[in-house]
Amino acid sequence: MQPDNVTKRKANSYTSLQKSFRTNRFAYMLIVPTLLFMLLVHFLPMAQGIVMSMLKLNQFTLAQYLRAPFIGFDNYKSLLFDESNPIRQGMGFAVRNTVIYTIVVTFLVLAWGLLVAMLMNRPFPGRGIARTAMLLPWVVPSYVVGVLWGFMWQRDGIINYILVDLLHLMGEKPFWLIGHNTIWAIIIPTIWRGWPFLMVVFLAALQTIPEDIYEAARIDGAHKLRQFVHITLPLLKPVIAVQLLFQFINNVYSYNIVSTMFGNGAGYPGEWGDLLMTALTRQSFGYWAFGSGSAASFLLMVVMLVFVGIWYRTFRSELNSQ
Amino acid sequence: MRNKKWTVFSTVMASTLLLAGCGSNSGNGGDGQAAATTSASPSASASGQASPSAQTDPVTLSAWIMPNSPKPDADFLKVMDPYLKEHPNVTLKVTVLDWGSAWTKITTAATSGEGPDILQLGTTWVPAIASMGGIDKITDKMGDVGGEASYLPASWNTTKIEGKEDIYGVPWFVDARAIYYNKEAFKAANVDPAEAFKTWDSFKSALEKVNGVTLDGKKVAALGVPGKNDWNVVHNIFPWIWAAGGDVLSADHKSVTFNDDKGVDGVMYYTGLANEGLVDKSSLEKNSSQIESDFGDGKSAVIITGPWLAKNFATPSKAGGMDDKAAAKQFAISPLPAGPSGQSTFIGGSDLTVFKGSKNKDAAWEVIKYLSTVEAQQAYADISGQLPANKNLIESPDLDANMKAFAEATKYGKSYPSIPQWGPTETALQKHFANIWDIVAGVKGKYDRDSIQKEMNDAASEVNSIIKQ
Amino acid sequence: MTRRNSAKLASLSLTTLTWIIVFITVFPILWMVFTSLHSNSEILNGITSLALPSPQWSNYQNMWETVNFAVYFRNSLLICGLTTVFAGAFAVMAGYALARFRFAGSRTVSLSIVSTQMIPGIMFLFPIYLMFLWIKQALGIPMINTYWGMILVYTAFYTPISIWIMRSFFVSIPRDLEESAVIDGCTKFQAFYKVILPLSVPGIIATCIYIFLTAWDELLFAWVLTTSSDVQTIPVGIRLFVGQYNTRYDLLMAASTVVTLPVMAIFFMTQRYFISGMTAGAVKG
Repeated sequence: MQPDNVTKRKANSYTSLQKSFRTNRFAYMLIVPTLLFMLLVHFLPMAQGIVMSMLKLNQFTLAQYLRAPFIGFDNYKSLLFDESNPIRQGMGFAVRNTVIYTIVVTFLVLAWGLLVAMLMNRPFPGRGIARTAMLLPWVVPSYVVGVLWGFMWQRDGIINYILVDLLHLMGEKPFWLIGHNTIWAIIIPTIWRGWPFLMVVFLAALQTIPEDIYEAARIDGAHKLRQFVHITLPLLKPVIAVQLLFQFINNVYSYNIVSTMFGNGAGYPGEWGDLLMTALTRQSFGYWAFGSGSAASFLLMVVMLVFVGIWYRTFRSELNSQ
Repeated sequence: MRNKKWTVFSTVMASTLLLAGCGSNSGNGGDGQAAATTSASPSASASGQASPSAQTDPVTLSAWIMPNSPKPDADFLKVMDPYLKEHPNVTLKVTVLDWGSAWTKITTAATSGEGPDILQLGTTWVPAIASMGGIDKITDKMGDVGGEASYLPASWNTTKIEGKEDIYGVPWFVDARAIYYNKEAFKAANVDPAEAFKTWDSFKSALEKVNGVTLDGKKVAALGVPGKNDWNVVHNIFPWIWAAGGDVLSADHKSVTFNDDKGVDGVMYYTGLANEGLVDKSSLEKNSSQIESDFGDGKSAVIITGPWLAKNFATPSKAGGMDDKAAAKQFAISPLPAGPSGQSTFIGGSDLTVFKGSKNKDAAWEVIKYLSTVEAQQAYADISGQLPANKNLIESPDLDANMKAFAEATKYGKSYPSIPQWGPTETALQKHFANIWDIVAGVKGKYDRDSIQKEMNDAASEVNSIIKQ
Repeated sequence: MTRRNSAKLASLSLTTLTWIIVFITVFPILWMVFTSLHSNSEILNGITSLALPSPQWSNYQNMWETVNFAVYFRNSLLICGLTTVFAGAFAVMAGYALARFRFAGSRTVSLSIVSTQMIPGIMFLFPIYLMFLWIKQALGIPMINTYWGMILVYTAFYTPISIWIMRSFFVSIPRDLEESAVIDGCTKFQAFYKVILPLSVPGIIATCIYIFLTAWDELLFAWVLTTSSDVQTIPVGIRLFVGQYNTRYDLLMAASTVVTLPVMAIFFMTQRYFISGMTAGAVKG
């Protein structure tokens, strides 16, 4: 809300509001059903979640739900300062893995998606087929991705076969599903499923950049890299900004692939495979720690909002240029 | 123009109304659930009020079971068929939960009272769900199903909360662990199986001899052991702790003891087998299914698993079984070797319970009663490859030879303490025992007594804070 | 001459590179199909041979019998299909409003739409479950384990991001179109309905595919909010091939293939619109 608008509105707020309502009546009609709906299924449950984070909810009080004993900020306190809090067990690993996972996946999905989009942004025989084929992983459900790659990563599986027996890239067949390699076993399938969508988005964006801009740059003697840095990237910035945000959110809240690759939610993905969401779900249900669990979720949400605030400040000009 | 405007508006309105009016359409959703809520009055739920009319009124029961057999719901209904024929008024709806999400689901159901009529619970879950108030006490009905005398002590203990008298479940089938070994491999290594499985020492020296023999031109690893990615991580390790003289908790269930010297001895012995090259390291990332398949292919000479494998070896490969595997005709079963403190194994299985929120408790109990009869017990054991819970059947001389070995195992087997906090305890144990397997596999630090002791201490302190809650 | 040749060579090598990428990308999917034609014990052994002497087509028959997969399939199609219709409709309406009007609170609405994406699903899980229970107790409308309950939840989940996509699509359509329509005597509604909507078909299809795929993919809520196979969806049903005592990896892979195929088919049929929809809309994010 721009400040000048606010002052103007204060001056004759009632009539202007009325007027604004009349001119925008159609807009309100379009948006009200959605708002009501989101209020019901987003706002109300979230409010309950916040209340839950201040209750003593365990095995014995769970059935009372919102009438369970109110303990104020004790859940938060215990979450932050008490090492024996059930939600905290192993959470350090989950946080570390989620940070690595989010950064690596987000960066590589965007970079690789853009790279291949540029590769595809030139005529060659069978381009349509290639584009469609590349998009296929995006259509594979993530719970299938987890199971499928779980097979491929086995020590006697196809990936080691290709890497070791066929290409001789490694001396001995490594473990992927146990130990520190697990983080790659979850990152790579996520990238595999994620980048094609980005490729299409970037390809679409690239195709709207008029060829004559590049032509002019070429005449000025700018080589490919310069063209990329000075023309392509700036023009793509709004798209990159939006996709960056959505990738970031998706990856922090990633659950399906890890969960289905390791024991369908019951197993322990290991110190290098556990993510925030798998850990939070397992600990909340496994230890009946729903109060602390909600508190952790809420804290996570606040942290995420801070990140989104930073994101918004960084890309504000690009976003508003729309 | 006006007309079209109206059309769009009505579509918008209609979609909003549709959402608001979900109720009118709920029939196509859970007709079982809907029928259950309307057909019976809650007052009929008190025990022993089975009036004659209750026996003939149409009633729809829903049952939640786990994937216990190859075709879980069809197999269950097959066993129920005689009963359902005799009681045409009863309709049974079966929902199969997978073990992975079952805990989440049953917890939410128990919290809310919205769930099935009949609920299968893993034996270790009974005290937890009972203490949440999710399932009914059935203490005074136990006479109907034979009472304590009809069940093994290890499974009877799982029907109640430790230290209390009330009964919450009826044992349905029993899971026990024993050794499967490949007779040909033992012959090739010139090892006498009768001696091999007597003690820890004889077991280890037998494994050392068997290790590396060739079967059909392929080298055999002595032992197949699933590692961290298994759902049996905890069940695989405790038999060795028990045999070493350790236990999960102290006798009063107030403190943790599995990380004492004896407990660590047990873990060191078992993981030591893997560390000393008697296990193919690849197996440490596999789960039980994969280990069983490896055994079937003769990749390993010995594995420790449950009765279902014998059934799998008798099932055609087209039906997902392993009758085509080499070991299907070469295997034999033996009890686990005795440790310093004697023989031990893991006893688990499942109990049947009446869900607290059920509106048809009498009818539900009748079904459980039927499933506890000798005929139904036998039928379900045959179809699922599990050990029946009925003691008479376990001890019957007609029992299948393979099953007899498991029946034998149940005599010295142990189950976990029946405490309400066992659910969280197992979650914690699974996590830390998983780390132990990572250490053994060489992907998480050095393997020695100190690192194992440290991991077990971590587990102990986590479990301690759980049981003190 | 040489210059043209080297350009040709460069182009050829880029094309080759592209096809290598295509192959690597598609390989896991081919591998899934290939695996699904093996027997359970072959899969458990680890497949490392490309020879397939006797494909086990029976997996594709047995998967429907071992687990009642047809029911899960139907449920997924229904729930995801209707979710797509509703969320798509909401997205078109709200997206248009946000793209074209600056009204009191429009910025708040935009921001809260993004903020909803920030709430961890696990935080919702219990509240929604218990709210559904409460609705049943207070209003007599069953929500848990009903199609409508699932559709309601999914619609609410996927509406915000769909609004975002639709909004950027509408932004890319020049304003003059409506303005000239209004000058010609159309009302705002008519301008929207008769001029903009027909132009938006590719964008709507792109959004709908997005919604459908996301809903098809949802796991956690499907586990908790459904209690019987009348309503349970594929991600719930597909796990039943994994038993405690006997895991049917052969059927699991066959089922995975079957689950992926219809989505691919829909995608193939609509991809032309999808890509042109993305081209128009994605440009602005």
